[in-house]
Amino acid sequence: MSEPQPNGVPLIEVRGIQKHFPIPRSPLAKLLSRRGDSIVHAVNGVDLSIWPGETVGLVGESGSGKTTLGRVMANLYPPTAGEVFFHGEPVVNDMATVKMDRSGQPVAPKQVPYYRLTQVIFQNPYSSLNPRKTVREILSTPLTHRGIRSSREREEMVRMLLESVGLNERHAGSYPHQFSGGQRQRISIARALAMHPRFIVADEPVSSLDVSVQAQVINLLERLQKEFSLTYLIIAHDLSVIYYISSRVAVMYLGKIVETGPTLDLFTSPLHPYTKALLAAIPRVRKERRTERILLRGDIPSPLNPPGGCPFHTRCQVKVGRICEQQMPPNFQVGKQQVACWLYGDPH
Amino acid sequence: MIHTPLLQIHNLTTIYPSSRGPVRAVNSVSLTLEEGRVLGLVGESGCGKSTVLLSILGLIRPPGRVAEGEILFRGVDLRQMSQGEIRAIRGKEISMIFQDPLSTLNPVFKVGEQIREALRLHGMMNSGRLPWPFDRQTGRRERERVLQVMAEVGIPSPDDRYAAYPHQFSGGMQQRALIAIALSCNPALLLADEPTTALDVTIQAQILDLMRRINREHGTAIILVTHDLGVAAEFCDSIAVMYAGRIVEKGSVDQVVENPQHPYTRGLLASRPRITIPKEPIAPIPGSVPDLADLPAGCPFSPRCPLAQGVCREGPVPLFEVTPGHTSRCLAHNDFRRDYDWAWTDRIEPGHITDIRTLIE
Repeated sequence: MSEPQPNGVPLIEVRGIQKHFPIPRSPLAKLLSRRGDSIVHAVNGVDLSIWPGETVGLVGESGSGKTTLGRVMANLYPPTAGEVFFHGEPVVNDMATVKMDRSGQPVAPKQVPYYRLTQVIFQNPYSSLNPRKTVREILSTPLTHRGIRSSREREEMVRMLLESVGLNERHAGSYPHQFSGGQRQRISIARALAMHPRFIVADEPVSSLDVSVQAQVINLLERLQKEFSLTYLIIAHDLSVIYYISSRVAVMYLGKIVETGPTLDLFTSPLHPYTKALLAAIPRVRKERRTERILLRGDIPSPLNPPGGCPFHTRCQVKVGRICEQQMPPNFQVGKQQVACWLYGDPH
Repeated sequence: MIHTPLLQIHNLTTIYPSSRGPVRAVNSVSLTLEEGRVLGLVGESGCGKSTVLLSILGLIRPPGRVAEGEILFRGVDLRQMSQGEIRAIRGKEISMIFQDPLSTLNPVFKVGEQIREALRLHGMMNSGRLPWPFDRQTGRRERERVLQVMAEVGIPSPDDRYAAYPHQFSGGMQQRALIAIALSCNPALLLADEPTTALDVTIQAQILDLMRRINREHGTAIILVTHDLGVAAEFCDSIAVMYAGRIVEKGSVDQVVENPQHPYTRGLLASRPRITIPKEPIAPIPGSVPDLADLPAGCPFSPRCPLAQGVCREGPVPLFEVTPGHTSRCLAHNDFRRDYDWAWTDRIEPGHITDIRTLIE
């Protein structure tokens, strides 16, 4: 909930990221259609910077490419084009250059494997934990990779990790199936913490949990951020979760980031027509907070064949004109927000 | 003439046997739904809300069974009906839409044909002159009705989409096709089991808008099962909150949402991140949803409840009427103590426990 000002060198920065997934076709199909493989344009040119201590929320509908972007930032997918920077230096051969310590003080540059700096918390704690390993084994593996050789030391660290996520030593010998969904997500979080990373990508960390348990995990993530000076990229489709946890928000649509800005600014004065529609679609409990619905027509177009120009032009109700269909708008700075929409461009 | 509500459920109890003894998935649930109204059934996973819907339609798969209770539809008990009688009602008078449209639609049949099947089974368009395969006119009228329903639920160019297969539809369109099946016979009651959970928020808004229109234009009564209090608050006239197979709080939307009485309802509201300025902290409910096979004695919420005292763990908790039409199943409404510590939920509303008016159970 703290709002660190984005300044200095970003912790993680991505520039011009594209990630395309070819869908292989059989040679016969290629011959008949006289076309090559079809390509899913999951991420289609994204720039994003995340500064130390920030929590950036990434929102978008399913198929918008937010998970793919998160995985590229965690180095789980190599990007088709574009680069990932850590402390301003490109990540090459999975090695990053660390130039600052956790408190932001400059240190002598040092090459560190990228996985030691970045960890991921996955959406589904039922499938992301190995069912045949005990919690102790699950948590020890990253510790071994961190270079902790003494088994007694590892045991002690497993205990501390479990305690920091609200479990205890008793749980170390159990298997994942013996835990509830909320507890399993805590184990996933502990596993990510075991590497003592600087940056955590949390992909829908609470969406598979019961409503009453979601809040526990959200509060846990916030507490750990302070305790371990972490930087988060939180991917979620639930806008109220994003609002609650993020200091800055990026809205994604069909492989592109259409708007970014500080959470409060973006939620109080959304600029992009898509952000407006998204915010208006949130069901509200309290009557006085309900806003006029902006009903979007149709569905998100297929990333197999994204429309040219602005990706949103097929559903946009406030199109400027032909330019929306022909040219992708650049990012315009409006106040503290950046918006990729011709409405805010030079009216020529 | 005595007024009969559209649907009246008394003490419905549905039991699934398990290795650890019978599990009461639904435990003495009573509900009333008037013609043309919308009721929200809210709760977390495993609280029995979907089982209520399946029990209404007689779709509880053995060895599960409806053990007790009456389900009166227009005054007639559905439980006393034969399979044939209930089949004539299911899909025609009462129809249901499920959470996951892709697994509900049959992947090998055309969407249009699947909508038509409901019409055919109930003989909705029969001219009555010749049996179905020989009656050209019936077929034509069925097809017309299908196209009409498809257009009504907002499937673009129904003529082309009639022959499409489910996988060619997007999630939102599949859900519209399901709604079209449910609506084809013009039911009096629509049961919707988490119809928007699998959908994105903008598509969710479209589907809720569509269901609201159906409710207004056709007077179709709806029971909406959801875990999202926001969806229920926007869409429904009244809300019943379920926990561990029981209804713990029931009332109009305004009563339940603006003045929640049961600690669980308050907890749900407090644990939900809200978009407010400034940001308000969230207060999680400690612990997790109980195992239905191993419920604590007394109030099932007591292990997680900040108000729980010894009495709560002793026996079943009755339903208290807090204000007319607003009931809550919590002993805190009783006089047994006054110094409630509501600090943890005070952020919601300056709500206070209203004095008990009547003990109604």
